[in-house]
Amino acid sequence: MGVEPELISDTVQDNLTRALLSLPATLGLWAVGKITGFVEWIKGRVLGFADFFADPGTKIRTGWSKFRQEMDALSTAQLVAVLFTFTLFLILPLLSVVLFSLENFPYHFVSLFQDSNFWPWQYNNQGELISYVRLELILTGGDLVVLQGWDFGAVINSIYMAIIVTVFSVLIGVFFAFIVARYDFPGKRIIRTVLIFPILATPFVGAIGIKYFLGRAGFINNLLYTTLHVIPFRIELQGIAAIIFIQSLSFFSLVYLNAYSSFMGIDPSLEEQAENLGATGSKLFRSVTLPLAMPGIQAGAILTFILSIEDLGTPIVYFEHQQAQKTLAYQVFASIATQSGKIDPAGPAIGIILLIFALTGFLAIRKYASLRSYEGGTKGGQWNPRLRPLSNRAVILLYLMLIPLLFFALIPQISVIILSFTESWSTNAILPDVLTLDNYNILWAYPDVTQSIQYTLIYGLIATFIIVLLGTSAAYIIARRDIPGKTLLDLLVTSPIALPGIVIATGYFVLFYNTPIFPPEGPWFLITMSYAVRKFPFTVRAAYAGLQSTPVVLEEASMNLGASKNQTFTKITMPLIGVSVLAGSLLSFVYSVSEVSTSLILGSVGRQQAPMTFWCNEILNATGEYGGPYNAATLGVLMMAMQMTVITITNKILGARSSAMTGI
Amino acid sequence: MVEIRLENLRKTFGDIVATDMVNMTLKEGELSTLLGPSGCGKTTLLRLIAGFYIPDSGRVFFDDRDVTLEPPHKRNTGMCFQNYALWPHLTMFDNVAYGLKIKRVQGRKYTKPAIAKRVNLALELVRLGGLGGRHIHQLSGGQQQRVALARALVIEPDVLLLDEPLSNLDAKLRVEMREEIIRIQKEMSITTVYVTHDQVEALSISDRVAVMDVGYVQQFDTPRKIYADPQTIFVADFIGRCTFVQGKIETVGEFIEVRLPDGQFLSGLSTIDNYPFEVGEDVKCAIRPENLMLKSAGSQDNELAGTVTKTTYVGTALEVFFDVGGTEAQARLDADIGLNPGDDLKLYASRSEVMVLPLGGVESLRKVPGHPMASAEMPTRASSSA
Repeated sequence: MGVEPELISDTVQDNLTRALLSLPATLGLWAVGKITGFVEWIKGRVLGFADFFADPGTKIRTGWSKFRQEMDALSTAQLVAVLFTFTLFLILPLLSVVLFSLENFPYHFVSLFQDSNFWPWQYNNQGELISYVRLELILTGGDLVVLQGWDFGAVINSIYMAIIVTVFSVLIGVFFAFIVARYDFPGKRIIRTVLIFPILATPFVGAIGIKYFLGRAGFINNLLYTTLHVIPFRIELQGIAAIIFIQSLSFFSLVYLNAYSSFMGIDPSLEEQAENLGATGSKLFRSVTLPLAMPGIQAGAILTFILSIEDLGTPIVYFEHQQAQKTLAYQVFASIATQSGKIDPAGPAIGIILLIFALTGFLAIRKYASLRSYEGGTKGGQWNPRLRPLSNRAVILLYLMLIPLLFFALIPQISVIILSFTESWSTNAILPDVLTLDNYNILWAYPDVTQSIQYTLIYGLIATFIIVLLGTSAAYIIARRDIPGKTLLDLLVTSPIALPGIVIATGYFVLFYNTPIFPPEGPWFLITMSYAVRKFPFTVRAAYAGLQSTPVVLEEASMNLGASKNQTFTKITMPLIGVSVLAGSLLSFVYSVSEVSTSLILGSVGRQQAPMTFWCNEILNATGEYGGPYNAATLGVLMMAMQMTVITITNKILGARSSAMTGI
Repeated sequence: MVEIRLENLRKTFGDIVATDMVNMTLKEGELSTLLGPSGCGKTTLLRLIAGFYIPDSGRVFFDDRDVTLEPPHKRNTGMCFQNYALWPHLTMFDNVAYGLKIKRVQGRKYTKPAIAKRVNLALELVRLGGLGGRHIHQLSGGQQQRVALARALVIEPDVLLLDEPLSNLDAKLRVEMREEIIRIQKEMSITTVYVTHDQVEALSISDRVAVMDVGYVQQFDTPRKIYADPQTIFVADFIGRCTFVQGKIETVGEFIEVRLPDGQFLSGLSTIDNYPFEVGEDVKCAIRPENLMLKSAGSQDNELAGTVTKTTYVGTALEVFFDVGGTEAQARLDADIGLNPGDDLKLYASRSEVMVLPLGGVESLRKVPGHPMASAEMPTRASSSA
């Protein structure tokens, strides 16, 4: 055999052929590597756990003496408070769901998979396999074309939907992040702020807007079909296609934020070195920039996947279409959204499936993205990130690309605002014919709704208060106290971001219904606690980041001068991390206000105490003077206004550290 | 002012032994330096004294008070951190005043005017009088360092702890600040522990120097003794320059005679009092470059012959490297002599300038009766595996 040639051709065609030929092997190796890595990691954790049981006596003794050394009275009290809250309002409810679903095991799981809504391949009485899979993507009728998704039953629907949403979000998010992080152009500031809005307007609010604004007699159809005759029919998104569209427009900013702070955190000399060695353009991007930013992008992507699977807001708005009901989140909701507080045992079983997806995703984030990506991000200020000015021509080209994208990204917001002022909208008009302020009357015409605004604020404030107290404590213990099991504590307090609210709410029903803290018709306490637990990660992460960027010696210097740990905490630590905690708590508050899943489920048993999101959904589906999308949109606008105010403030405070907003 | 006594200190981090078998007494009002390469355990030792670490075993005494388990804020030590650790949210004045605001004297606290008076005095002491209102980021590195010093001194600490306080300063400022620290330390005559990896700094400011390596205190002595009578090969090598040639002991008498592998003889003195050298033992002979002469000063002098490998002209002298039976030796000779690589060279060294050292390092000092290392408890098997 001859010697391998040292040089091979470099034509575009040859390169493409080679890349395509090696693609299966590359992808296969990549997947195998990731999966074995993940399995090994989990195994390591489990072995570490087993190690404990090999010699529990010594381990407990050394652990305990370490604990005594590290903790004083205050930290111990803080730790106990955090653990108590999480045990009572997170762990026990989840465990009770698991136990509830295990009743008559495996009956509920088996019967789930015998339901064609859930699993499309069933045997009929004759033992023949019948497939309920529906692959029609396009339905036509008259001048209407409806785009929907494939239907494989709730389990597979949720998964493939989440995957597509993740892919779209990553593409859009990374594109924006790179442009904003590496180029300087007029109007960049505005675009940066605008790109963060979608993260807050939860898919729920956006869905209300898009469903009607882009509906069959909405803006786009009336513009392109009725008025301009550019397209020969009306187009409408329904079912899973609509969910994918809406979620992508909302979640891409999660990826954007994470990718942005990763790009900003890359030491410019690393890229300069690559350029020095001859890499430019896309080669530089692929070989250096992208790999270095990968942890952040992965974190954003996995989070998108989890949130997409557990999102209840979008399916609930599109619930008339049967496909939207065939998602895991909607199925759980449907099985427990009753006014009696009774739960169909099938619900928890579906919840468990959701929970497994969420937990796997969450552990994957912690494994692959870890916290390093964030710490890297905080160093952004130490160097001047590589910013290139764009030539005028490039700016025009960029805006030609950005404007349509931004338009779509902002459609949820724009459309909700327009809807809220709409009195009538004739079938063929591009925009509403008559505008009015009357829709806003609902805010005070109907006492339950007026009350719900107050309640939402009160629940949010109490929850935020609890979060700040406990979140700062937890962050402090994790960052500053070397106690055994603190990794577990860290996992515990950040996990709520990935845990489906519907499952937690189910747990509250199973565990607390008809007890003093959850009397029939009285869910207020548990709504508040669910906000406190679910929105905890945002503050704990922000506080932790603040502590990470505050050198420990600043605290040691204080103790050295005679201040006790408590004095040091109040006089040195708190002032130094105050800003981070403030930013985190603002986020926790905002997300509390827009919380959908537990609000809807817990609110359904006590309408007088239900928060805004519950009433938003009620009004949307109600008829009469104060019902329907126009009135529902006013509540959406109110929520968005609160959120945007808060996010603008937070963005100012956090600056480049904006990835703290995703709380991972 | 207190005397600090460290007994059998040992501190590990996981499997890494940061410092071990430390026995030393830092006298009242003295400035002692912990000197060593990075990772030698000097900062660990300082933090054990400050109370930021609790030792795995051993005790720390301030006079007769056992402070081993006492938290840092009860030890009344003033510490200057390597990067100063000034609080960015407070002004210079407030940084310095912090300790006084916390401090209670017999349950009573200082009044505001009393605090202001003391802070201003402290700032004047470090020559920053009148600048108290400034923010930390408005200060230069040298000023920040002095604020850190003032903050540590204002609480009238029993012990002053300095962790490489000058490492971030440029050369000129470093010398100035060094003088300043000595001045203040002598003025207040405060027991001081100073951590550095700069041997010149250590020798020039200290009453006594503790040379550390791989967690052990190799030698704790006056700068003069450290240089003239190094107790281990590491100390001889780390402080100043040295040529080491290995050989076997032929006779032990007033002087120790060592046979080198190439047949030459060296006769020298042990730098370790009462070290039990034995005939036939492998040892190293250490000679400072400046002690190798071209001409013999007396008939008893050692001869050392070799081949020149390299010469470096450094202005005041010619540094000559030459090969003695496979080992590279160095000498500092008159800049005017003409020597070239390949030349044969014969140099002379007085018998009292040849230092004979055991091979075993700091562990071998355990053989010396009454040596602090000898009284150190060996870590037990159980605690070493923990």
